[in-house]
Amino acid sequence: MRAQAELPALAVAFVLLTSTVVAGVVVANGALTAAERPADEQRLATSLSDRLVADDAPHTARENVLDEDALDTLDEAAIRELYNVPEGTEARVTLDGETLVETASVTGTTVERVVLVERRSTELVRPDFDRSRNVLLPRRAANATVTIDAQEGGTIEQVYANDRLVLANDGGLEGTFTVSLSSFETTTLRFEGTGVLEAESVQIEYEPPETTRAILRVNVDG
Amino acid sequence: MDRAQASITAIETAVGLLLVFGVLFAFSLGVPGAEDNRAQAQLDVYATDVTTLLSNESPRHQDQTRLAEVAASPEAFDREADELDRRIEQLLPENVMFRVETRHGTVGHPLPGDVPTGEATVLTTNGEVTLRVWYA
Repeated sequence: MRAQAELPALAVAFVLLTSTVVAGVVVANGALTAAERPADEQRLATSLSDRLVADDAPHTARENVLDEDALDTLDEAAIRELYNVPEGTEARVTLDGETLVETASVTGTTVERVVLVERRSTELVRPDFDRSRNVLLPRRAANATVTIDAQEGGTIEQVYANDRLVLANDGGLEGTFTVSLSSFETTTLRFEGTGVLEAESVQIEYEPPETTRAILRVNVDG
Repeated sequence: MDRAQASITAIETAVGLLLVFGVLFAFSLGVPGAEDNRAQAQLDVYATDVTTLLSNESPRHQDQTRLAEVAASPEAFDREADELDRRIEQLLPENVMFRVETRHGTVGHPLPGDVPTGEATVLTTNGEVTLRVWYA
């Protein structure tokens, strides 16, 4: 007498197995989707933050250095157009806790970037040429505007910035000039010429940058 | 001979169900690793940001940038190590610790063994400088 599989039992077994497999696949899919979403948002947030701190971004002075004056123009329109955040993706950008842009209430993933915020102050130096024809600019800057108004008795024929000749005119310099300086070292300007230089002859205007560190947080809901 | 026989179908069903329930259970616990990946990516970004800022910063004395200065020579390293330590401490968030490795020495805290660490390496004119960061 052979053992025989029972048909009803087989049918019940198939139904049970199939429904269990379907339930299993649904749960697995749900778990995988839930795990993928943070990774996608992380990617979106990282790429948006990369664009915000890039060297050629509209609101940065150089890589990872934000220009404080330009930050006023960072608004929702800028985020959507200049930084390519599409409709449907919400983003919030804060700097040291203060919200710069918020397109909607956002709960997604956050990426933090270390940045410097650069502020430019204008410094005016009016040397009095008391003992020497050298002027030390106490702060480093990339360039300076030198206005020469040679008074009676003295002319300025050459101007050196740290031994580098930046301006020269054998007939005497007169007017407003922009000279480029090295932002890696402190500059001493030397005014060579004839006669005695008066205190009113030269006015130097330069803009040394001042930076403070800030944390830029980019929060994206994809 | 009239022995009761266990229904083999029922046993096979039971084994099959057990297998599927096992896999279901594993998935319902969730796919692991999302948290750790996020921390790792964030730490890498911190390290990259700080090395970018340092490699564009003016040196205190000579050489092209602050990082190049500290990698220049043993004397330059001794001179600049403390200042570099202070500057990196200033730049990184409070809960992040760091270690800088150069050819002439290291600056910062000793590396912990088992935590996710972010890393960024800069090639300067005087050699490589590596910054490692981790959460305190």
